[in-house]
Amino acid sequence: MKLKYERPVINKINAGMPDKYGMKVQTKAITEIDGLKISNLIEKFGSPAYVLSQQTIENTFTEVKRAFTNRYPKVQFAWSYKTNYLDAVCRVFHSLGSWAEVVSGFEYRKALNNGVEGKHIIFNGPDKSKGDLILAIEKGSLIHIDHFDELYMIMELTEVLSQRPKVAIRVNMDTGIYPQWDRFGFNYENGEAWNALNRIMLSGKMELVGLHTHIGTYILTPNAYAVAAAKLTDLAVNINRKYNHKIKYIDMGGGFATKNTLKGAYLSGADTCPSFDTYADAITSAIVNSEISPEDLPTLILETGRALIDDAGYLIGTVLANKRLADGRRSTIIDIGVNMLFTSFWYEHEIYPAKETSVHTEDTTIYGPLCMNIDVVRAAIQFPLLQKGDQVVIKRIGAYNMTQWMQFITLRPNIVLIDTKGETHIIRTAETNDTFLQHEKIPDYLIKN
Amino acid sequence: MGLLNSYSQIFFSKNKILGILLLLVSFFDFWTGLGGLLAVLVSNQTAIWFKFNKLNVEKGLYGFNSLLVGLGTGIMFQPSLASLFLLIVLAIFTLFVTLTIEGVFTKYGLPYISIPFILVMWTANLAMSDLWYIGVSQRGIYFYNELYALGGQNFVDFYNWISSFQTPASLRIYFLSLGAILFQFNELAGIIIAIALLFSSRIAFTLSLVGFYVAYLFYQLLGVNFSELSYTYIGFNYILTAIAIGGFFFVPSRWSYLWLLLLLPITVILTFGLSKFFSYYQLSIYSLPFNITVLLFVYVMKLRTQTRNELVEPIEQRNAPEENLYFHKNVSERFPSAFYLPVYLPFLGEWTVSQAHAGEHTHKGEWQHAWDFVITDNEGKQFQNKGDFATDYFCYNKPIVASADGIVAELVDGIADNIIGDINTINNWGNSLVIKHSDYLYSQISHLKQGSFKVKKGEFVRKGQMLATCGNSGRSPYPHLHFQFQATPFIGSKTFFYPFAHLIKKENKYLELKTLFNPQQDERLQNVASNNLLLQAFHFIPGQVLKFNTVKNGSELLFEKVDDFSKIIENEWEIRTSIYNVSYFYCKKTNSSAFFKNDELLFQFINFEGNKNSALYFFYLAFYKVQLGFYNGLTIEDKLPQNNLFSQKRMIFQDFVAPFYLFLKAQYKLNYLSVDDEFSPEEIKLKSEILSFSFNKKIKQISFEITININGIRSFLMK
Repeated sequence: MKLKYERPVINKINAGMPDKYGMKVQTKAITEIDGLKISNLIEKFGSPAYVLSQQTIENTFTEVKRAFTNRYPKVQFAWSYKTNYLDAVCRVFHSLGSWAEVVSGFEYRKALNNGVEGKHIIFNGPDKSKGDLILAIEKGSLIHIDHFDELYMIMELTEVLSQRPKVAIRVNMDTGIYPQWDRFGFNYENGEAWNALNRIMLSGKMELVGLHTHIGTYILTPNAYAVAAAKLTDLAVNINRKYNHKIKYIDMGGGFATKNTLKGAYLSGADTCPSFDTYADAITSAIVNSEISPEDLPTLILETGRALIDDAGYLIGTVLANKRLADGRRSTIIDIGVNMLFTSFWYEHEIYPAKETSVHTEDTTIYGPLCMNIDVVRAAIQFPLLQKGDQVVIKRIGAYNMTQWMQFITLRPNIVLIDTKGETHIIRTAETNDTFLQHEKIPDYLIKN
Repeated sequence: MGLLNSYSQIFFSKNKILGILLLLVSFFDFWTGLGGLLAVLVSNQTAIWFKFNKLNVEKGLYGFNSLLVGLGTGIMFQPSLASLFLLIVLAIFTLFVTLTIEGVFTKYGLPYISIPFILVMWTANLAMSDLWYIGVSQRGIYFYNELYALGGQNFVDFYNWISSFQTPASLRIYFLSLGAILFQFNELAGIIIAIALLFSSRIAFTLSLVGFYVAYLFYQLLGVNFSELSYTYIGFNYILTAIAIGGFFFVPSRWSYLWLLLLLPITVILTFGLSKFFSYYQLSIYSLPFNITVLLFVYVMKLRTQTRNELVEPIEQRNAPEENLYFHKNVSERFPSAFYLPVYLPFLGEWTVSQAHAGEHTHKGEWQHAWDFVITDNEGKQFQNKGDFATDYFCYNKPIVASADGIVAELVDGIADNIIGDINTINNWGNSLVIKHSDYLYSQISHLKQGSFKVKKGEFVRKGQMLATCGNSGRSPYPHLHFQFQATPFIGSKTFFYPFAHLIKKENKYLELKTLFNPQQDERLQNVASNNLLLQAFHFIPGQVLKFNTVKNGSELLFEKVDDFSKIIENEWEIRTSIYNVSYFYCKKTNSSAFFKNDELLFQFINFEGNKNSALYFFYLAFYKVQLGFYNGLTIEDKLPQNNLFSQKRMIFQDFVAPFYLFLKAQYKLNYLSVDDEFSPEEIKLKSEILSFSFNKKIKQISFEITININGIRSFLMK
């Protein structure tokens, strides 16, 4: 085989002088996903393209589920729609037994459309319209109240609706981490949570079924969950004491970290990310060790999103060009921009070549294809010497990128799901100019006759 | 009270019709019959007056010996005031002898059969020489006179007509022997008894023939003239021995039949020997050979150290070989032990058996009844990464819970985890716990993680309470949980076989409920969860009355629960608890009972007695077995006893061959259809089916659509 051409580089020799992370290692290539060659995938589905591995989803789900169900008798997962609400992805999770956790009327209807029963939909978030609430109450969904105005609206609705709403309140609290998320729900320490609970219980018009908290995102301290779980169980115990009412579930939200490295982090995510077992141990121990008797233990609901899907997602793309910057550093332009990799604003994403390369790397800035200064995928990375047309893979991008993406300058590409048998399925087709023509309207006076 | 049963008890039965026919036959000789009847009445009434066990009186257990004595006395003496008085005295005497012998024999778990009768009759016989003046009867010798007195010339002609049939001599002797049981020395009595016996029990009838002819063949083999039997009528000993061993004291099976081949020759020898001996005293041996053989065999079989499946005593004596057989088969499969304390899996979530009983590694000898559990992933792997560290193993540090309520009897902590692959042979059990569940039931959990104990020695623990976490201490090359049941509180005690009450077994994504289950290698298991709505609906309180309305709609029958207590409804069932602590539904209108058991996770009917057209019977079928947790799509299966489902007509042939082969089969199936809300369920729908098979061909199907809500069982629709 003809050797691949690599441009010549000049690097300072630092052999024998490993830094504290050891010797520099060669950047491994990701040549295939679930046994399918990247080059073939690009040939078939274009470049760039999102690729999701159902096998990885199932493996991760089993791992998380095992961590909890082997520690706690009643555990239920609810798929966080906002993390990735592609219908195919949602349905994979529902098929694994997950309920749906939604935060808007749009997501709520999406869940219904995915065949989730109303009683298996958890309705979170600060924005629930009157129409959304009526729908959710009538379908018997679990409504997690975020603020007093929502509580009042539900109270008003109980006057006209025959159904008794099933509600929970979202509680925010000091769990010893920074930043403390206090903008959602009712605060535990200042008594707002009790205020809300008293109103719900005294109104007698709703059924208080659960308590919910979501302490933050990408939480690296499992102990914060232990504190949160202890505070919620404390509320549950006291509600039972005061109103002789048993709380049916405690919803610990999500926020488990993944192995992606946060920008500014000293160590890589792979080293700092706690295992699911550690989170599970913290949460379940706190509930089991509470005053609640074993037979009355509430169901534990988890809305884990990121940690369940991140590893299953890949972005595959192609190098567009190489450039030398003013300070002498190299830059590589790829066809994946921040418009389709929103998470690159907070993660140092791992980018790999799709073919084996030599040991030589160069400090490189990786830019996206957008004609916009902010389009930086990686500001600095020791990257192999790729040339135009070489393919790259960005790993661990399953969470948020397929929902928080922007249609900006370029169109959104194909999303491909590889099923457990290794078959590929397009689960969202690439946008075309027609996609936009459908939604745009031109006033008559601008149309040339 | 207990009158008819006293008659049918002679054939170990409680069949009323058999009782009536025997009563009638006994009156072939009026005074004999009257003597028997009087003796039973006197004996039973005395027993009630003196407050002896009323249940035994009802069953006829205190009457049948007196009956035999009454019949024997009746035929012996001419009717007179003196002989009447003698009869009363002998009846009460028999009762006392019965009670005394019962008192002695019961200690050995033995029946007293007709020993009291023999003793009293001998006494009477020996005393007879002094009682001549009462007037010894010549009846039973001039048989035609009696027939004529009973039914005139026509009856005599009828008898002659029957006798004119060309029947083998042996069959005649068979009938005579049967008649002799009631001191009726004629063939007609024997024929009627045979018919009554056939009607009451096909197995008993078959056995009567088997017994008689095995003895007959043995006579032939020995070259003894069988016609001797026609004179002494002593042949009934063989008939009764066969019924007692073949179908009554043991569950009828091919083994119980086979044993007769040995036991009947013994009875024959006994008959010869004893006759010689007692003839010296001019005494008849009556049923002595039968009594000796049965007592001997029953006693000897009780001395077995291990009861084999071949020959077993019935769990509950139901006084009918068929019922004994069907009930025993069904109950011994469904409830193998009467004194079972339910135990559950000692962990949460799904675990896998890595070594079962008599496993290949360490579960051998005295420790063979143990299980090792680990957690595995979908591919069956126990660890992530390379499995070089204890923390790589999925089960490591996972909570271990109590399998039943109990007290921490022993606790060992402080033994460090092994590195993977290494074992600690000095402290081989590692960190361990022994929990005392009852005086003879302890569970031991081993290889726990050092310092993970949440309980102290002497502490009371509840079922499901967290005890410690799984570790890798002791003789444990990789993290796993060792679990065993033992009878003593020491770590490393000898194990014994003790299954788990209920669990869910997962196989290829399908869940299966297993009851009294001994987990096998590589099985994936989890505990059963309960559902509050189901728990409530199946929690029946003694004294509670269930009322169901019946609505007929074509071939469908809808039973709807009525909560209004003031209304009088067609079907009203009271929940009662028997003296044996068994709860049952009782329907007064149809005099039907449905016995059930509820161990908090499983509701099961044990048996049904009474009217098979009653709503209670359909209730019994619909809810034969209900697991009280809701698992979407779970199917529960069980078997019904044949006699509780198939029509009498269908059962006749089955009864004959039942000890050898059951070609009729009845299967119960329950499906969990839907629940409206997991957190606060208000309505649950189930569907049950009864499938009947004949030679594995489906012949009938009944299905029930069940609705359960907050008011309990709302309705069930039968199709």
